[in-house]
Amino acid sequence: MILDILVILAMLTGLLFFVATTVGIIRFPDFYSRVHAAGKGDTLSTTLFLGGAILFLLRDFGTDTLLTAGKLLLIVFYIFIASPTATHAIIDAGYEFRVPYWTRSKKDNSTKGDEESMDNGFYPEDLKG
Amino acid sequence: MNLEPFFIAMAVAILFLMLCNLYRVVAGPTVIDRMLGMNVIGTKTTVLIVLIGVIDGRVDLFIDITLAYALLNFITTIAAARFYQRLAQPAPRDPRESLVAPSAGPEVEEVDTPAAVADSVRKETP
Repeated sequence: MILDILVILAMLTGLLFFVATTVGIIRFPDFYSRVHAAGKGDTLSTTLFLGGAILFLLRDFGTDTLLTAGKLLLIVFYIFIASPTATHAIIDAGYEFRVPYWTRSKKDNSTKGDEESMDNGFYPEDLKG
Repeated sequence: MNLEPFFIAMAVAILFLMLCNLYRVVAGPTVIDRMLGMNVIGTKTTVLIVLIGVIDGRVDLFIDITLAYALLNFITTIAAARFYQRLAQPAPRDPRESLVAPSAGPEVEEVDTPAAVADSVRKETP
């Protein structure tokens, strides 16, 4: 009974984080902020969902369910390492790609001196979209 | 307590949010945005497969598919990111530069004027 409540709690928290991730990916104005939303919320919500599945499997205890729960724990461990690595690779590619970053206005964009090595107007047209 | 309706509701909610993420894949301004959206969708697909297995009562059958899907998603994302990272960098003028990793160090300084080129050639010949 208390295990069921824990399963429901974990999955609802995971769904909350996934809703936040989706809202961030759709609504944020910039590529870099979108990566920020996706990298954190996606990893944590996946971990919480799979943790809820593990708790549900351990409800009827046995060697079979223990083996399956071990495999699921392996997947959780793998995703917890691989998803931030993939996000880092994506944002590295975007930085080398010189994706333009968000500023408040065009005027601010032209008066900035520090980031001019990044915002030099280079934008590969054939790869855009 | 019967948790099967709860799992079905969770799977439907995840599917709906994945469709919302598909908007970024369709309308993303750059290729990298599309890659990001597909990475999130692929990560959530593993959760969806596990939930389908839990609803079906055969998780031990679906768990191997989930593991293979997670590995494949990671490898695809890394490969696409590396491809676009190499594409954004200029091709090496000197064949010796290709021995160095592309994102390893600072860029080589520009020697484009004829005097500088002649100077560098003079330096290399004994």
